[in-house]
Amino acid sequence: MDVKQLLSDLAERQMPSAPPLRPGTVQRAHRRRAMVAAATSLAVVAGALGVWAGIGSLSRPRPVPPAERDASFSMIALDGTEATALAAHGDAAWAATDGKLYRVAGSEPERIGPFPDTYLGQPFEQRMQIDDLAANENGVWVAASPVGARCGESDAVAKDPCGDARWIPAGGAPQPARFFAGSRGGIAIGNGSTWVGGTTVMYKVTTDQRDAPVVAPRKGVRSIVGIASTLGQVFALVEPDDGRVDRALLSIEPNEGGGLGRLDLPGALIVRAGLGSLWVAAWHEGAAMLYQIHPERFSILRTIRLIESPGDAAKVLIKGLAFSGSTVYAAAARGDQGIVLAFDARTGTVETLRAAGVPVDIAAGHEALWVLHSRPARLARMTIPDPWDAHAPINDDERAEAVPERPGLEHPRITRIDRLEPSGDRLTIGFLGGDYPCGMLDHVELWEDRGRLMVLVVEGVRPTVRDGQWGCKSVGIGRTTTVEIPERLRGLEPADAAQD
Amino acid sequence: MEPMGLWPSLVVVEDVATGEPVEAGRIEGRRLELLYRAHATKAARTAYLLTGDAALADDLVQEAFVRLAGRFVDWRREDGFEPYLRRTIVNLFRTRLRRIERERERHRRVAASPVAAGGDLADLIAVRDALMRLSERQRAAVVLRYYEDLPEAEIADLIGCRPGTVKSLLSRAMDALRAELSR
Repeated sequence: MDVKQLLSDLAERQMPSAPPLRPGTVQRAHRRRAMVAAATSLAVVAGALGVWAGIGSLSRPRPVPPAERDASFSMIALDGTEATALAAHGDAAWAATDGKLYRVAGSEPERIGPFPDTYLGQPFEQRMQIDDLAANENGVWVAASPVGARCGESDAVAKDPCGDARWIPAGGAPQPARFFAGSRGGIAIGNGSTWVGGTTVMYKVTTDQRDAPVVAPRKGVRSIVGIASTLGQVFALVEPDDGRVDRALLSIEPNEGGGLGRLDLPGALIVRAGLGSLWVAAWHEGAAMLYQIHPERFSILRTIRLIESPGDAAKVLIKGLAFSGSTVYAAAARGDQGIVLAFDARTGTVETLRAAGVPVDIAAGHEALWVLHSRPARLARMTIPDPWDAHAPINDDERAEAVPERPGLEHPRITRIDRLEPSGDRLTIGFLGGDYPCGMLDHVELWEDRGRLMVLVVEGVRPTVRDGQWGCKSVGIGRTTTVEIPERLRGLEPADAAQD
Repeated sequence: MEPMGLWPSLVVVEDVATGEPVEAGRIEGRRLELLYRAHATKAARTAYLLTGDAALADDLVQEAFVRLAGRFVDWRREDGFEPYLRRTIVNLFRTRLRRIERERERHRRVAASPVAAGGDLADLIAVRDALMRLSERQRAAVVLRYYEDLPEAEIADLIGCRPGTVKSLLSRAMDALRAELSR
């Protein structure tokens, strides 16, 4: 099936040419131009008088002390006591309590299942604990102990995603019992596969869904604490057996399962992938820490002290991480209280939200943040403001590579801007570029729009790169470039046109 | 000649209709039309594949040009315009995802939207219907990958997800399309 040809035929048949430019469009465009010109004049005058408050608002912000406030969560009661796992995708969340699975889209939870009693002779629901859940646009995946199970291949909004035939013990079927090592290491989706962390080994659920081989052996590992996958990489947070440190993060080769690298992270509690990075939450030296890790370089980009609890104060133990827009949400327990820490990766600020109890896990859907609580099991929902439009930096500024404009590259594309720092007649732009030669800076556009200096970064591909090779890398590389601001645009508030 | 703020290759242009050189003073007033003539057809086709509705595709393109009209006073190079227009189209389409009620209305319109008559009418209807049965993000991924020829990393940036998610979206979408079209 030649999809490209089919789409071209359909588009050309249905839209042989664009309809004429409508008179109304022209008039609206003229009005917009006039509005832009008027706003720009006002902005320039205001800037000259030094009263333009927004100048530099996208530059590196000053640290803001954490603020604590009550979050406007709405509560949804679940049937059960012990809540164990949570996942969200789109408008729905899935929560596990007492070995049962619920889907919540509105205010009423819907029971999914029941699960089959046995699979290949293994008793199932009666003594099953759901350790972890993962959801994407294709389905919901369940990691369950002691047999290590999964389900999926269903629409994420379906009420019953798990037919009997879709249950396969991790370790494959049929497999020797020794492979049924549980799934307490959690579950992750990425790199075209689903990954299940057993007690000491990691399973890879292959695309044919009839096998789940062990890909990461137990060598050097006392137990697996959590797993994550992003940008084609797979990682496991483990308790190593060499006694050097209590926790270490391993980078694992996704096909052969060999170890590619190790980062010692004392006090690490959980690992999650989000915002193009890997994030590890830890309790270390009296503070709840968040480590941002570059998945490809496998190095720590940022260490964030989310909240401190010195002296005899209760530890702050992070139970889950969720991502939306440019924000990392950490659900944490502080003694018998629950809090949600919101770290804005763009501004570097942390906000503390009071939760309605000790959280078990947290997940972010399309427009909602979900927090799971236990004893009794209940789910809290909070609306996330404008989650689509934000964009988070992957790198720290110090390592960003300064690059010149190279006009004339092929395959031009718009790149989102990470930071804008105007200084007199110069503007420094930080952005995440592609890998050379696939992603190079072609040029920067500057114009005014309603009193703002609109900035557009255009990247391209070196012309010598052959077709088919120019989309070779997807990971963001920190870059900066400095351009001269035309005289009439100086003093305007800079803004990323790609996000306007 | 005083630069008019359009990119250099269009500062001196011929009248598209007559082939006569256009005076510099008239270029300012004709900028939008020139841009439209150069880029609207491709944009409309992309918008059609995203929405499945020719009228709605036209709406999206007209709206995109209104939004872009005031932004080119200091434009330096032509190369960036097409991807910027594409991003605006995708953003407008994506914005609609949040407006569920409008989306439902659109589905009703698509169901009644005619397909142009031609030799392969049944095939065209099947392709369009199969495309419309995909989720919005799957459809956007398919159109941007197979019609616009964009790499996965750029698609990810456009639709606001990770590159790995684009792989998954494409894989599932292709499976669904194959299943639909092989019936």
